[in-house]
Amino acid sequence: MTSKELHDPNRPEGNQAAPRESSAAGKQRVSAARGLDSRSQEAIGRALRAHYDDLVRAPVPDKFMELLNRLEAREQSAKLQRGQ
Amino acid sequence: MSQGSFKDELVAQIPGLRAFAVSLCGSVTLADDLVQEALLRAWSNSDKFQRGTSLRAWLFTILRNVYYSQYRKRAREVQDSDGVFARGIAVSGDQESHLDLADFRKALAKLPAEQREVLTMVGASGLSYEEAAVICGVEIGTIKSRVSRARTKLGELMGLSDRRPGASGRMSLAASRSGAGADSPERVK
Repeated sequence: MTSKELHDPNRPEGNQAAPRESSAAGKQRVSAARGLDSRSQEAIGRALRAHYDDLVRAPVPDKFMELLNRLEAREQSAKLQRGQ
Repeated sequence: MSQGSFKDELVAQIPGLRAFAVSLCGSVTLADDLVQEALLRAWSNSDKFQRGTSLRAWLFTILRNVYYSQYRKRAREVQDSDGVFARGIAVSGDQESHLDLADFRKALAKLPAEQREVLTMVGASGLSYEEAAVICGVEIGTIKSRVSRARTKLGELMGLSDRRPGASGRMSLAASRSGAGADSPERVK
């Protein structure tokens, strides 16, 4: 990962948009989103976490473990060939 | 770091990485392709991971780059037909929430990806604003601004905005709204 990759050129906003956004955000606290009272914000926060927790708890397919096992085995056999 | 322990650490990150991927692309099928590609890249670039920094943030960065460089167009094409995002991939629902989760997911799916991803990162996955800013390659203020707009947009989609008194939406907020009418002036500035 290079630092260049961190700054994705495909992200939708142009460079000119970022400074304007950040200066506006500095004046506005995130906890006081425009037009939402605290109860609505809490409800959204709870729903968001419930949604995410559902995803995190979902069973993980075996294929990811199999992939990592293959990568590890390939690396170990490469080490053996190098006599390590 | 030995690759053996690195593998274990990667395995521990898979559920969260997958949740982030689904939130990002809106499709479980695509999300699993994304996770697979991110794991491959993480493995082959493991020497570039700086110990002591957040592996999760590093993996999110990789996965996000894969998504925006290769998958975004595909995600738009399959999102509606797939429809898994709206259903969720797990059967359990959280009864604690006053909002109907299925309706919430539909609203979430309507947000632009760059709003959905920051909301997921700082609102659900526990990443800091600073980490989210590094992952997205933008200023912290931009992250805060996006989170704020994402919440406002979600509120509008679900009829929660106090700026719209009388806009009931389809959401059941009876439990949290009782005692405070939709036109209650409190906290409205």
